[in-house]
Amino acid sequence: MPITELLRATWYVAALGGAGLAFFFAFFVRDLAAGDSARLRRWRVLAFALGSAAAVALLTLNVSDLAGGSTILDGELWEITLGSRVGMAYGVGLIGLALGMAAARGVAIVGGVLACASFTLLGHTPVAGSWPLPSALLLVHLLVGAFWIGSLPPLTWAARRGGERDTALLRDWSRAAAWAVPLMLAAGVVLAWLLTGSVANLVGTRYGVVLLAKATLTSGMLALAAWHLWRLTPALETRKRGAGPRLARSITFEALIALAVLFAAAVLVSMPPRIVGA
Amino acid sequence: MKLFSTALCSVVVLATLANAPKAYAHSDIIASEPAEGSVLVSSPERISLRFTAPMQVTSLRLLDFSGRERALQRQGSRTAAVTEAQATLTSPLPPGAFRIEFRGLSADGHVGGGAVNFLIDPSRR
Repeated sequence: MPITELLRATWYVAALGGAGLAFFFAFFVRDLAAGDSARLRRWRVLAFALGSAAAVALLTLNVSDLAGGSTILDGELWEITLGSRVGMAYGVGLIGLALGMAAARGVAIVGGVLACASFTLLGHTPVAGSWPLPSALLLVHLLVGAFWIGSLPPLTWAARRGGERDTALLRDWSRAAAWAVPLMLAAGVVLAWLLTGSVANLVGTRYGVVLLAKATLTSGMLALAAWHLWRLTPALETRKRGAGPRLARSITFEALIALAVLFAAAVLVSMPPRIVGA
Repeated sequence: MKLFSTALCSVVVLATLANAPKAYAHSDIIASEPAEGSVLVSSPERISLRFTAPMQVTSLRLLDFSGRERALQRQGSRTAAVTEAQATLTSPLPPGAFRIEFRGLSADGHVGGGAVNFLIDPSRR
């Protein structure tokens, strides 16, 4: 498994997860149980630390790649890397994660948006045709995706406790997700079409195959989310025995699928979305 | 209201961030001197690589068939994005197979590189 893709996936987990934790904090801090607010802050700090480590490692790999066999301690190569779109993207992402740790809800939201927006600086969307539509679609896709992924840890805490306040939180979150997630899916589908351009590219390239795998994993997450909404959360509301731990386990499983989705996304960015020469 | 204004601010920040990236093209090699696969009867005095879009060429090396690096005098700075990278040889090359290797950064942030192989064979004269 290439180290670059693993590190990139780690960056995605930290940046999008951190952004999502910041959004969850901003939108649901009033509904959080005692202690969860501090716990959420610790997770946001952890996301920033993980993101910093991944960004430094990725920038070092970038310098090593540019060096072409010579030393990575070449100051000029670091200057080139940090002054490039790569340096700018990780810089903006880390500033976003730092702001996402704030206690002020507004600042946390700005941080989350910046962390997501940093992804529009790299990859396929900045150079895709009909810009700025692809970048705008990617941002919508990431904002909702981050909100979804970053919400999973605090939702697990709430489900495990299973009190009245926790059940209300799960309900409120589901209501917000019910309109946001379709937006994410629509943005993702249109973006995929703009990048691949044809069914032949979707089924005839490695990019297309990984993209379809990512879509399948996302469908799995959606199916679990629907099961939580229509089965497990009502069971929790009616105080059925074991409903809380069952919901918590299921959300944890959903989070594991989310990690696989982020890994697929990290693989996609280094592949051409169209058949070369097409 | 505070939340709304913050969200609005975020959108403005985003719009600033996504500044005209159409200019940030990916760069590939289109021509070189000596050309890929060419056979020369004598040592070239200089080498050059031409690209489809400006690239910061961070590494430009000339290797002989044993992998030993030959000295080159680069023209211009590595930090400048160029569509043509040039270097002069500090001493003539002996007959044999050679390989020019380069690495660089395209304006879209992609690191890329490649190689050009050529042969010096005075008997082809």
